[in-house]
Amino acid sequence: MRTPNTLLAFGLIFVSCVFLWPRSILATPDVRYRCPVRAADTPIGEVRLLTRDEAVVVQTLLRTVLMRRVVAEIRKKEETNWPSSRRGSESSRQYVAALERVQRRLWEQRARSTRGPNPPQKLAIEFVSGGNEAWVGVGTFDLQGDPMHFNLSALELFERLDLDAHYVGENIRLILADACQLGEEEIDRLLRGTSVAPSTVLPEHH
Amino acid sequence: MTRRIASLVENLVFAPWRWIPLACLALVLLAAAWVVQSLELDPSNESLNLADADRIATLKRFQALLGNDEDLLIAWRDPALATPTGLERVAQLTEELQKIPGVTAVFSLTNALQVARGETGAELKPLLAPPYESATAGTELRAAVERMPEFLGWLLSSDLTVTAVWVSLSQESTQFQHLGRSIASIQTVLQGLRAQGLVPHLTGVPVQKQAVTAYIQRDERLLLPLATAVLGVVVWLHFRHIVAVVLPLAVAGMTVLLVHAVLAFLHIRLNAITALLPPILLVLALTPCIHLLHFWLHGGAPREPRHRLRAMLEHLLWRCLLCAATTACGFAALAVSPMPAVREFGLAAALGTLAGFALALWLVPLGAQAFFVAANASTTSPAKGSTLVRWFLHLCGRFSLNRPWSTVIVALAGAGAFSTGTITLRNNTDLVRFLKPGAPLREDTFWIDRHLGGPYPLEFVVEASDGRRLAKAADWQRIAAWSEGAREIATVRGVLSLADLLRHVHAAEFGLGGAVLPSEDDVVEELLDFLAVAPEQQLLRRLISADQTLTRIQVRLRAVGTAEVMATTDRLLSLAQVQLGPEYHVHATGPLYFLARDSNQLVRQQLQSFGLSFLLVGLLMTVAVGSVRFGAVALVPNILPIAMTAGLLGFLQIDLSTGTAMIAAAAMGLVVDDTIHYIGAFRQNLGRTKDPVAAAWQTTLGTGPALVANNVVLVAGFWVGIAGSFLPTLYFSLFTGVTLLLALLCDLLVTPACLVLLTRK
Repeated sequence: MRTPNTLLAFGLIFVSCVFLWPRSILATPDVRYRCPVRAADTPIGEVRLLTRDEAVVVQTLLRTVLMRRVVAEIRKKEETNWPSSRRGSESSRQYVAALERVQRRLWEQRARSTRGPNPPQKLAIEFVSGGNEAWVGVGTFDLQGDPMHFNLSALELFERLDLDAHYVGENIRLILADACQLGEEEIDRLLRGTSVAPSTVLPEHH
Repeated sequence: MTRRIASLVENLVFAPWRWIPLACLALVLLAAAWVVQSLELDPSNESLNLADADRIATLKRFQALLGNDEDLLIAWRDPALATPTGLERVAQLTEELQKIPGVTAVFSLTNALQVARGETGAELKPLLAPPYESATAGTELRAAVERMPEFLGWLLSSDLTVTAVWVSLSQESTQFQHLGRSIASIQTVLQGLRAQGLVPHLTGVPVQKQAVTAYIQRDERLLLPLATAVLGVVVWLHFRHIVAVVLPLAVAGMTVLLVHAVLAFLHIRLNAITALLPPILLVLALTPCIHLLHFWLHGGAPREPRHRLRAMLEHLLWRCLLCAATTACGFAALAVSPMPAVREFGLAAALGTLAGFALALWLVPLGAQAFFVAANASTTSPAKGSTLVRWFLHLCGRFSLNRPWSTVIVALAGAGAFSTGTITLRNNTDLVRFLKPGAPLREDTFWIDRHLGGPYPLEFVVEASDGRRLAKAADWQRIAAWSEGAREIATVRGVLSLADLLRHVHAAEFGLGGAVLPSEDDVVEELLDFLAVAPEQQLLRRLISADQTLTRIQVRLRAVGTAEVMATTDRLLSLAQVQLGPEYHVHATGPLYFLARDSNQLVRQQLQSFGLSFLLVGLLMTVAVGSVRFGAVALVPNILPIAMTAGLLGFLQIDLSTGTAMIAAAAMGLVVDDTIHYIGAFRQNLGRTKDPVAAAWQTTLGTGPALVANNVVLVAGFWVGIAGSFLPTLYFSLFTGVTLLLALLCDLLVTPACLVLLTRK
């Protein structure tokens, strides 16, 4: 009987690690900076800079019924920022493709309202850089309390893409600059404050 | 009962304590004068609407979900519209109007949005964006309306020279206290256009409300003094004595004051119909005064005042009481009308009739014995017109008494021929056409109708039978098909619905070549999602409710009356049954629809009022003459003038409306008065002479002058209403007067003929 029990225990640990790991990333996030994301002056989400274990994370939480448009907007920016001639363009393509897959999944799974406008879809994007890892996660989230305050209660990543570290680091800077309207110096200061290995987040000098 | 009344009157006139009730009356009048100051006007015309719970609930639901439906429309012709100067003018006016307190939204060419394709899908962009370049302004304007043809007829004429600005006011601003200020501010802004040589035209429900208020105030100021002056002159011509003029007018004035005080006490506000009350109350109160004074001065009664009073009461009390009762019944029959304004008018007039009769019975002998006590009847010379009157009465007598059968047959044939005109009578009310030609609101509305199109918005709301969201492709395709069908109707100038907007959004969102509605439910969901977060929610909220279960379709009609409005509504609802089917509920709503529906119901109710009036008056007449045969004969000369007037209205193509539908019921009570006096006198004379023809001659020559005088006063009083501002009240006044004249003719021709035929052996 001991062997099946041991197997069951290992199985549970495996299941927890594989399927429940996204929950672990909610563990006491240290949010260093946050700024709203707006579309036509209407807040539709939040970009937040946080540290998790050894990594710096730029988390984008988007909450809108027009997610297809938002994803199209991100694709447009990615194509501008990462032309095929530039290092990281392949990562950008993978990221956009993942984004569109998740958006379609959210659209298919979305709740249909019987009275009143449809509830918004919720898309979470994480750019994680630090230590030896550089990856992008795309999924969804839940909020608690006033939805405009973005108090995260759950986060579930549907896709994790291990991408070029240079692409991830550079996109963290681009997101902070674009969404939070931050200058290079401010971004440097913020990123230094996160005590992350500088090589992954330093600006790319061309 | 008459003995008790006679005894009371005698005491009130001759008892030593007669000053006490007089002092009480003075106190009551003082109190009435104080109370009447709180009498208010009803600028909303709410009392012209039927008090129907279903109607109120539908309207409230509509307003709660889709907002206030009372918009103002400003339009003007500007040959330079398609130039930077013209567009700058529109932009400046739009900006100035937006600054006015109470204005919630302004829609014009310069802030209208178009749906365009952006980099990631549909976007709402300004239709025209400044700076307006002289080289391209015209081309851009033309291109904009080609892209969004829905703007034609709504914001722009097809020749690009007439433009419109729609102004929405807050619910609060459309209230009486603020409306005048809001409209005055808008008029001040429009001065800017006038200063540039342009002529702005303004219409809309709020302007109608304000105009109606102003006209009621004007009529209140004009009609009462005018009626007093006209009636004073008529009474002077009859009696030629200043006291004989002042006394009846004082009684009539007191009646007007008391009735208005009662209205104020009951918090009933004056409206377009009840504004007519002062001259009519004057007339109603004058009638018994004239009969009483005529007897006092020309009745050949004993000279001693107490004896003269007794003789007067013996001759006239029962007849005057019966006349007052029948007149009051005629007016009170209007109380069955579902329209509060008509009900209030009928009951107030009935109250005024009874109050006027009571005051006349008390104050006329009191005044007469005080002022004419020393005078003999001969001191007040008969009216100079009496020769003419006598000649006229002789003519009537000769015709009716020498050829009674011919008279009756000719009268019946004439009335029959006239009444064929009733076939063409139609029920048609139009608030703007209520105003006389030349009234600014009427002219502006018709100008907009001619040059832009569709100043009358007819509102429909569509919802799914199961209350679900309108988020299926089939929903909008059916609504669009219905809108297309609606545009084919001749009275329809334009249709505005969310289906048009969805079509453009669909084309822009997916880069389609033409504006078509989506055929997939998912796409409709996406488009509704887009609209749910679009920045211009104010405009969208007017087309679809926040919960997306109810959509509004605005059908703009030409400036037509309620007959055509109802015909168009019925046609549109039938079309909705075909195009939308049983899965949807379609409701017509909005002020125009309710006005049209109320108007139809009103005529049915007015016919009921007339039927009730006819029954009550007939019953009273039968009781009064103490004979069913006499009672039946008495009704004949009273039905004929009403039938003739109805036919006359038809021949003159005057529609039945709030005012004209009241004529029959109100006139019924008045016209029988002459018959009552005639038959009463005839029976007295017949008792003496035993010869019907001789009795009829004596009656025609003896009672005839009083009947003529009384009718002249009544007609003059009613015709004062011709100076009123509203056509229905004008027609009511004019044709009630005509009915009274026809009734006088019938009473002098048909009544004697019928009585002779009935009583001769």
